[in-house]
Amino acid sequence: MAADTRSETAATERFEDVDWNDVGGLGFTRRTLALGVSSLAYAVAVLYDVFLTEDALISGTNWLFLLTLLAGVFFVAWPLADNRRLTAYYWRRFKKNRAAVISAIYLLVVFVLGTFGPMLIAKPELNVLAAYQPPVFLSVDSSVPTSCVGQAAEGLCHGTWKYPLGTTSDGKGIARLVVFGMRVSMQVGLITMLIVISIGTVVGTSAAYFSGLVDELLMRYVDIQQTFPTFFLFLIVTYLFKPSLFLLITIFGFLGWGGIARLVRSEALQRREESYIQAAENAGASDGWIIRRHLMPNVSNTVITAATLLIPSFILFEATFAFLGLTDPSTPSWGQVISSGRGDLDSAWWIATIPGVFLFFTVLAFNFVGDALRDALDPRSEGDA
Amino acid sequence: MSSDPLLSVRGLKKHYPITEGVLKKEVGRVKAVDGISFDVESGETLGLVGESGCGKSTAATSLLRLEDPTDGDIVFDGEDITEFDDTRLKSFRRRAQMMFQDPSSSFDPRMSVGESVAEPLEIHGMRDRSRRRRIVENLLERVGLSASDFDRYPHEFSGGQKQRIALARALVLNPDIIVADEPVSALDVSIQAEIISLMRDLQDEFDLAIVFISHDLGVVREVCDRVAVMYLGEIVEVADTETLFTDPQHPYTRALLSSIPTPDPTRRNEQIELTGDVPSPSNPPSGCRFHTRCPEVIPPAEFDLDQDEWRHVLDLRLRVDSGLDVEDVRSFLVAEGVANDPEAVPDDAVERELRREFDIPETLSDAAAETVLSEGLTALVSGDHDHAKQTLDEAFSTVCERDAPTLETSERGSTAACHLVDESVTVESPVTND
Repeated sequence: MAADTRSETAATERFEDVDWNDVGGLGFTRRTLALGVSSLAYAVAVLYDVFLTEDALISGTNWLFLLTLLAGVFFVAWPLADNRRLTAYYWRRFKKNRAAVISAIYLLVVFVLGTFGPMLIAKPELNVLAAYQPPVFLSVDSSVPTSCVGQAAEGLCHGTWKYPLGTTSDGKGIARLVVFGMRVSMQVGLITMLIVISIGTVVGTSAAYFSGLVDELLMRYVDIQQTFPTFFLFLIVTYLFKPSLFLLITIFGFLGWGGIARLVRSEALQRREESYIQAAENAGASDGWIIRRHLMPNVSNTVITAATLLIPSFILFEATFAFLGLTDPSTPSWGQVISSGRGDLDSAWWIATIPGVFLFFTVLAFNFVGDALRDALDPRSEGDA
Repeated sequence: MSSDPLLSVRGLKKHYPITEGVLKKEVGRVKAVDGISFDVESGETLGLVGESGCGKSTAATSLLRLEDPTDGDIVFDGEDITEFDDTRLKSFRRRAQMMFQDPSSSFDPRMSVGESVAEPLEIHGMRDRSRRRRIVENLLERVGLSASDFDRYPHEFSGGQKQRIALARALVLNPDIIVADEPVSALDVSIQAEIISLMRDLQDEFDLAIVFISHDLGVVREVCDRVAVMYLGEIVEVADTETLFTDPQHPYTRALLSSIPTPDPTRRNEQIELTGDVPSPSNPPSGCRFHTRCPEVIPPAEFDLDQDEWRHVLDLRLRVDSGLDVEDVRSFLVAEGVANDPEAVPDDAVERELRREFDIPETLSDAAAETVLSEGLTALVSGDHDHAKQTLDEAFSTVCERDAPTLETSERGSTAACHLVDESVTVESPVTND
């Protein structure tokens, strides 16, 4: 049977002809190569920004956001594009949930607007003369705005396309504030998520794979960290230093991964017992190889689902802090705008309501997408597909 | 055995500690594999058979050092692999591969099967992707699949196809030995035959040595050149397949062989039924580990007992040793309606019930043995457990319990660890303690 299927052409090579004293050659995949080059470029740019320039090119938060985007390209988008069949399979399952598809489109719009919008439009500026303008197509009693930018007729001030979503009490355009707020929310949600799942996954898989003392040390540390009141730490740190988005992200990122680590560990413990792990050991794979190539990919479903459900909680945290005035006042975020409009709810309802609606739908959309991803990726539900 | 064997295992032990409490104090050991020795020549297939839980799989994983053995030497091609450091162990891994029992869990569901088969090549430093692909595509064709299967995922294959792929993965590094842990027991019988014939073809082509682990004696007879029978972490018999199947030396082997169903209804085998439970490997029986269940256990010289009788008497004695509660028997008799309350059950009824329970006749064929047994039973029933134990222990002891037999080679070329073999005597004859 083995003999007659053997077709000797130039392109075939037989395993028994391999000279094991002379293997090698450089065979990086395009992805590995691109990843290497971009990480190097990124590292150089950060070092240049930190050590060689007086003024920062972009803020720390933006550097982290760039890193998150790179990670998204190389660890989500690229593999998905590489494995089209698997991607198509997941998409077929995902799209069964129509609410999740709509949510995903909405989130994509928010993401794109939030990422690129602030580069294209100017930061909203203080303009007392244009305060309290109503959104376009709506009108408000002429006594509310200081002066009406749009048409004023019969004692009503009509909204204008100059400020499509109206203005705040200090005349900032809410449409622009919302776009800038999108960036803040996306940054907080995505960067914190990246930090949390990176640390959580490494700790969780290592604890499960090495077990014994390593497991004990890591998980007991997680226990301690989980009892730590992150909220109060944030209060103290903002009191001591200038409050900033960077601070918020790092504090919540570096102290918030305990739950993910536990989740990943329990999942990885099950995977560790599978015989493909033993097969890899038997092939001579190192610990790092097995964790990287087998354990991590096989817990990724759990991680992705958990990550999608973590993002809205971070966005809400940020909005809460901004609402309480605990964040950098120069960073326009949704929570801040809601807070600034809360005194004018009876006269200028749109100031607090519009960013509130965006916040509400963003959080809701992440939850929908997370649920649908869990259904689409969870191997336990694979049978009923 | 002209030159040194390819693989030589000597006194391999794998014990798992049983720990208790926070401080992980060792309170006992599960002796999964307890001192096994065998050789494998290159190009030979050695079968390792035994019941579930007898340590076959542990033997496989420890002889490949997937788990570090507790003790013993494993000499592969002249070098002791138990002393290898990481680098040398890795080059040993290239020459010794393993096939797993469960085809559904032995492939990473996130990797295409091609990547899985190519993984060992990559681990051992072949970084050229297209070369790996060429080799694996060629290999997939040679195990009866097609090159285009490279990009498919494990769940798209049947169990038999997956075992073909597993064979490809085991072969891809061109090893000298493959340890196959129940490679066909999860498959349908018709598929089993295909995989087995594929393994044979490949073995002939590449002069592979195979350690074939199975509980299925039918398959083992098909595949193996020699067979080692394991019981409770020890090898009890090693022989050429033909010798083992036609002339088994060890009573355990005979019991295993009698359990193979025969398709011919007119030639129904005499079924040998094993009594008693499989002992726990954390506390294996003394002497010959099989003596608690052995149908041919050697009777004491001073009595002339029928073999069946003796087995049942010994069963009773061992039960008394491990603590037989007479009160339970009384309660049982109350439930049967013999008396109204346990105290009122007459002693002779309890004795009768005990004899019935252990299949011991009303009177033993040997008068002296009967006297001792009655004395023991009376003591037992009257509540004097220690006296009963002592009486029975003194009279009904066997060489099988006292001394562990060593592997002895019989004149027929098979090697068995049994006191019956070195004496080559019939069961009924008295056996002197050597």
